[in-house]
Amino acid sequence: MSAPFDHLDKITDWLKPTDIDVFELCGREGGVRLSRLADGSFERTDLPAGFKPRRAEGVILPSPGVGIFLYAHPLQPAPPVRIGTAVRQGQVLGFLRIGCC
Amino acid sequence: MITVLSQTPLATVQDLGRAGALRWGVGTAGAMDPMALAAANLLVGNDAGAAGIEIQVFPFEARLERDSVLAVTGASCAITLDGEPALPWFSIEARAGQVVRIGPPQAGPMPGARAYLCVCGGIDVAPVLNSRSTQLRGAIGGFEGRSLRSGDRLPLGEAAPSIAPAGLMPWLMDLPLAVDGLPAVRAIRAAEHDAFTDEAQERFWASAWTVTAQSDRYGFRLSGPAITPKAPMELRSHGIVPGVVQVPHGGQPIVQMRDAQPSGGYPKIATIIEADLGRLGQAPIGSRFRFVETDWAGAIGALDANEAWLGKAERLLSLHRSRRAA
Repeated sequence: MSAPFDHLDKITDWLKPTDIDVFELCGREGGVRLSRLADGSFERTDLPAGFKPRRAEGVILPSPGVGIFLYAHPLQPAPPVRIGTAVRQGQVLGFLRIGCC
Repeated sequence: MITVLSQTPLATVQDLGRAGALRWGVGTAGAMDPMALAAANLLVGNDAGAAGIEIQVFPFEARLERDSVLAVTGASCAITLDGEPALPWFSIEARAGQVVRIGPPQAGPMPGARAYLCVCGGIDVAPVLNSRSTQLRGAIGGFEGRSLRSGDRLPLGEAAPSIAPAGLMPWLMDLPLAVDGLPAVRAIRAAEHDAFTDEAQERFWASAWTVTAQSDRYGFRLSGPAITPKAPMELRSHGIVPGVVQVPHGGQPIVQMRDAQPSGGYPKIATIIEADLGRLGQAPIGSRFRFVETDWAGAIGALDANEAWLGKAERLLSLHRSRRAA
């Protein structure tokens, strides 16, 4: 059985049609991070041995106003992010519906 | 300026239509889903009646030649800006040189057939008879009176390239109308309604109708039970309007849509009310829908409800933007 690091091209192909932006793979000798670029391709970054995946730190985001929080866009059943997803600055995390009856 | 990149047929410049021109034999044209077009305009800070691009074959691609705000409404499509996913029914800031791609409508809570791309400032083609809508039959209005082609460069009106981002609920989700689980449109009886047999009248109002592949901006041919007259009818051509439901000799109705000719001679069983024609404008080929009978007061009330929805959307967007600017 071959190691997953031998199949990064295949893993990248699997990632392309998904909504996964960052994928980290760790092994005894180190790890690798695949990060989605603007054109849809993935950039590889080698990670040192003993690398530990980043743990999310709690951040409280205040609501900009009164409304109803929506996890997903009304036309898109999947939420823009899931718990545990690494997010970028400015990325949409959820929606606030205002002025509804 | 916005440059069309895709060789997508049947994309046209449309506004809310050439109202008042039927008296001269000129059809109204305009967006098949005028509420969606108006909403896209409000999202980018335009007047509701500014011109945008109606897209009915996908994918469609265009490049922004200046910093802009754009919005894509109507059918729920997969939208990208330089390959990055963007949201439908939301204002989207775009930089000069970026490419917006609008993919096919997706399955979801609101099936649709047509998308509307509006850009801040609006598509600034010359108005013809007080409208920028493309009228394909007469080859007037819009961009050179025709559908768009790859390489077309559309002028934009003046506008601020930045605006507080916001979204709107699709109007068809805020103002739903369904019968027995099928989308519905309200209609009033037309002049020859009672000239059809009682059974035919009942079948017309109680049956599910399928939008056939012989449907376009001119008219939707429907498939369902045969609608037969009490006696053969021969009518002289007379004035008709978008929304009229004609029944030719075969008994399968035709709904006149936004590019309808101004006259026709088939007997008319009903007329879809103006407020609901946009609902049918979003019906995909092969989808089914129902007619619901209403009256003049119901038609006016539905139009008032649509206008109230747009007014509320405009007020909320204005409030949101003023708070963000403060």
